[in-house]
Amino acid sequence: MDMDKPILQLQGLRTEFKTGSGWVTAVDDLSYSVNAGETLGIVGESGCGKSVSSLCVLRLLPEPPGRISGGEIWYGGEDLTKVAETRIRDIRGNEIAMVFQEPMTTLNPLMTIGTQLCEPIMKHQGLSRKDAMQRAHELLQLVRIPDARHWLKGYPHEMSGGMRQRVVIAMALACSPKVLIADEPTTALDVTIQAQILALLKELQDRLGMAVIMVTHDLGVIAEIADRVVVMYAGSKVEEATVEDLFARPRHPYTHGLFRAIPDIDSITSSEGAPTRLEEIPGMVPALDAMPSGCPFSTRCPFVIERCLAERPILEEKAPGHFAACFRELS
Amino acid sequence: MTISSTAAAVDQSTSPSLRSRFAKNFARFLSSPLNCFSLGLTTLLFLLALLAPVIAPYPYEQINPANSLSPPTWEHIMGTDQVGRDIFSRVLYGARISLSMAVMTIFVGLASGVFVGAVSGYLGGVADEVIMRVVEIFMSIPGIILALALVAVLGPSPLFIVLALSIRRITQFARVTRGAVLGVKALDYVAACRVIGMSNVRILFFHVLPNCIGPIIVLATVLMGNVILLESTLSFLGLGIQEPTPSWGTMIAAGNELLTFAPWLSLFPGGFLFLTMLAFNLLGDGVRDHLDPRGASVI
Amino acid sequence: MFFKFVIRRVLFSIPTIVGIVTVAFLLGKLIPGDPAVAALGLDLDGASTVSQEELERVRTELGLDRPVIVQYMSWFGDALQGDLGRSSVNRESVTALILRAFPNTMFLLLTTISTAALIGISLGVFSALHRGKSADLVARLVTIIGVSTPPFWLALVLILVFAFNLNLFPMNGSVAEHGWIALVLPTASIALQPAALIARMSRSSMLEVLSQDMIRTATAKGLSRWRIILRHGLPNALSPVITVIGFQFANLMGGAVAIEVLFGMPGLGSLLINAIFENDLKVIQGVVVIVGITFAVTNLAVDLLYSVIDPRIKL
Repeated sequence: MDMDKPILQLQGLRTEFKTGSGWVTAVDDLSYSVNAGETLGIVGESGCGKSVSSLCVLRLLPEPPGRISGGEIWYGGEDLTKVAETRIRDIRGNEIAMVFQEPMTTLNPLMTIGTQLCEPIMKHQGLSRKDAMQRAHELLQLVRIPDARHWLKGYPHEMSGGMRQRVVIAMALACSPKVLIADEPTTALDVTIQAQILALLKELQDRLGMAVIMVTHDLGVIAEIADRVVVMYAGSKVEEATVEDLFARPRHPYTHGLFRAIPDIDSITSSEGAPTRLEEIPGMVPALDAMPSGCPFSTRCPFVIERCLAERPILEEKAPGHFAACFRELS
Repeated sequence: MTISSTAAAVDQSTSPSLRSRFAKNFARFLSSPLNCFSLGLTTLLFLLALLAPVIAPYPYEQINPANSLSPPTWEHIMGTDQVGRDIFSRVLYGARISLSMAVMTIFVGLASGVFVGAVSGYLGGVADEVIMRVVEIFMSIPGIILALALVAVLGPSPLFIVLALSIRRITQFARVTRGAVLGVKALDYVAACRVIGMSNVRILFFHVLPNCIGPIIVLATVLMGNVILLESTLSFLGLGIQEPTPSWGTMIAAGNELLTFAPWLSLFPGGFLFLTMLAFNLLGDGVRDHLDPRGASVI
Repeated sequence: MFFKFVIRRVLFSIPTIVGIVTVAFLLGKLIPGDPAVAALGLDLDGASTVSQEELERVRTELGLDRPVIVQYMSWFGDALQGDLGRSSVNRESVTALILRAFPNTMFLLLTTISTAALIGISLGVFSALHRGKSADLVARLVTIIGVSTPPFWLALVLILVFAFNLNLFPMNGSVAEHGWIALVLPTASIALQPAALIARMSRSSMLEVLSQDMIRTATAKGLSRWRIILRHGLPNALSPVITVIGFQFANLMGGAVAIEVLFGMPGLGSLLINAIFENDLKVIQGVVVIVGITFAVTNLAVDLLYSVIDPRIKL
C-alpha cells in the first residue's frame, strides 16, 4: 500500500450554519489529508468544528441548518462535495465509514444487532441475508464480542456501552472501508473500556490497512493512536505536526495550553511537596458570530502581541513537517 | 443565598414583574401571523355572539310563514327555515349559546379539575391513588356517551348540559394539573418554602399552582373547540339545547330532513360551527407551541 | 411469557371495569323523581295515571324496595354473569340487544380507524420529510381543517354531494341492504378527525426521530433514503402514534353515535339514542358498560402492540 499518497484530502473546506442572525462560519478554510494506513488525529475543544468537518466528508451534515459553502473533499479522483447522491451513498459505509460518539443512541433500538450489521453488507456487497449474517458473525468476532452467535439476535439495549461501541465499529468495518472516521469514539465510555476500544481500533487498522481519522478532544487518545495531528481552534487549523513533534514541542500557544491542562502523574506525585495545580486556558472560545478580527485565539492567548489583534496569522512551516498559525516563536 | 431568603424571593417574585412578563409573552405570541389570525377570529366570534341582538337583522324567533324556506337573498343572506325564521339571525344567536355553554363548561371543568388535580398531586399517597383511579374510570367512557347518558337521566336543561359536558373536562384538567404539580413539587424552592414553615395550603396555591399555569391554559384553549363540537353534537341528536332557542346543532339537524331541498338550512350553521372550531383549534395550537413547545401534554 | 403479561394486564384493568359498572349503576340513581315511574316510561305528569299497585309491582321487580347497597350488589353480580337487565320497552335482554348492535359498530370503527391510521401516518411522514416546505404547510393545513370539521356536518355535506348529487353512494349505511359500499360515506365522515390527529402526531414524532443519532448511523451505512425512513425512522416514531390511534379508536365510539343515527345504521349509537328517547334506562346503562369495557380492551391491545414493536418493553 502506498503510504505517502493521500487517500482523502480536504482543501479549503468551509461550512456555515444558519442562525437567527444569518449564516455563521463553523469551519473556516480547513485543509488536511490522510494517507492510506495512516492515523490522523484531529484535536480541539468542543465546538471547534472538528466533528462538523468530519461529518462533511460523507455529507452527513444536517442541511439545513448547516451547509458546505466552499472547498473540496478529494477522494480518489472525486470531489465528495460534488458527487451525486447515489455515488455518495455507495461510498458511505463501504469505502469510507464512520464511528460516532454516543454508542447508546447510534444504534437502532428496535432492530437486532445482526440485522443492523447485515444492512451495509447486503447493500454494498450484494450478499444474501444468510451470507451477510455469516459475515456479521465474523465481524462480531473480529471486534471480540463473546458469544457472537447469540448477540446476532440480541438488541442494543441488552448490551453495555462498550459492547455497543464494538458493534458500531464492527458495522463500520463491515465492508472493509479504506477510510474510517472515528468521531470521539471513546468519549462516552469508562476509562478502562476506552483503552480497550482504542487498542482494538489500532489492531484492526494494522490488520486491515485502512486510514483512520480520529476526532477527539483528548490528547491522551491522540498520543495512543495517532501518527499525525491536526489541532483545531474555533473552526480553523492552528497547528499540524507528527505526533512526536507535537508532543515534544507544541508551536501554537493553544496547543501549549492544551498540554498544560492535562494532569501529569509525575508532577502530582512528586516528592517536592504540594502537588502542582492543573492549569486551564483562561477565557472561552469566542462565539462563531463574534470572532475577533485578528487571530481567533488572541482573546485567550498569554503570548498575545499587538499584531495578533490586527492581523490573522496564516499557517507556516516552523520546522520540517511542523506547521503552526502563530506570529510568535514559542520555545 | 440562604434558604429562607430564597423562599422570600420566591414569595415576591410572582407579583411585581408578572404584568410586564405577561405583556412580553403576549407580544411574542402575536409575532406569529397565524396566532394573530386565530386570536382575531376567536375575538370576532365572541363579539358576534355578544352583539347578536344588535347585529341580527331579525329576532331569532320571528316567524314568517309567507317567506318560509327562502334561499339566501339580500333580505335573508342565509335564507329562511321552514317557518320563515331568518337563518343568519339564528346563527348569530346560536354562536351566543355555543360559546357561552363552552366557556361555562371549561370554567367548571377547570375550577374543579385544577383543584382536584392539585390536591391529588400535592398530597400524593393513597389520596392520589384513589383520585386518579376515579379519573381513569371517567376517562374510559367517551365524552359524548357520558354526556348523552347524563343528559338522558337528568334532562336536557342548559345547566345539566354544562354539567354533563364538564365531568370529563374535570378529569382532563385534574390529570394535567396533577402532572404539572408533581413536576413543580420536586423543585428546590418548594422545599425552601417548607423549611421556612409555610403552610401546605399556602405553598400549594401561592407557590406551586402559579407555576403550573402553562399546561392548564394550553388545555383550556385546546378544549374549547372540542367542547363546542360536543355541545352541538348533543343538540344535533336532539338532547342538547331545545327549540325554539337556536343552537347550531339543532339547526343542522332540522336542516337534515330538507337537506336536498334546502341545503342552506344546515350548511350555514355547520359552516359557522366549522369556522369556530377552526379558530379555537388554531388558537389552541398556537398557545401550545408558545407555552409548551415540546408538546408534552397529549390530551 | 406473553400469556402471563396478558393476564397481568387484564387483572390491572379490573378496577377500571368495576368502576365503569359502578358509574353505570349510579347513573340509574341520578334520575330525578320515582325510578319506578321512569321505568314505566312515563314522565312526572304521567305518574298519577298509574295505580299504586302497579308502581309497587315495578318497584319489587326492579328491586327498588331493597337497600341501595343490596341493589348494587345484585346489579354487579348480574353484570358479572353478563346479565344487564331487560329493556323496559320490549322486555328484551339488554345483553342480547347489545350483542346484536356491537358487531355493526365495531365493523364501522375498525374500517374507520384503519383508514384513518393509513392516511394519517402517510400524511404525517410526508409532512415531516418536507418540513418547512410548501408541501408541509399544505399537509398541516389539511390537518387543522380535518380536526376542525364536525363529523356529523361533514356527513351531511358528503351525503349531499356524493349520494344525492353524484349518486355514487347510498344515502343510508346499511351493509345488509347495499353491501360494503354503504360504509364509504360513514367511514369518510368520522375518519377525517382521527386521521388529522394521527397525522399530526406522526409528523412531530417522525421529526423527533429523524433528528436522532441512529438515523445518522443508518445514513452513514449508505442505506437508501426509503430504507432509512421506513425501516429505521418509522418504527421508532410509531409508539406515540399508536397511543393516539388507541385513544382515537375509543373516542370514535362516541363519534359514531351521530353517524349511526344519521346513516340509519343499527349499531350501539343508534341503540343508545333510541333508548334515551324511550327512557329505557337499562339499555343506556348497558351501553355505558360495554363502551367502557371496549375502552379497557383497546388499552390492553395498545399495550400489547407496544411490546410487539419495542423489544425494550419487558413483557
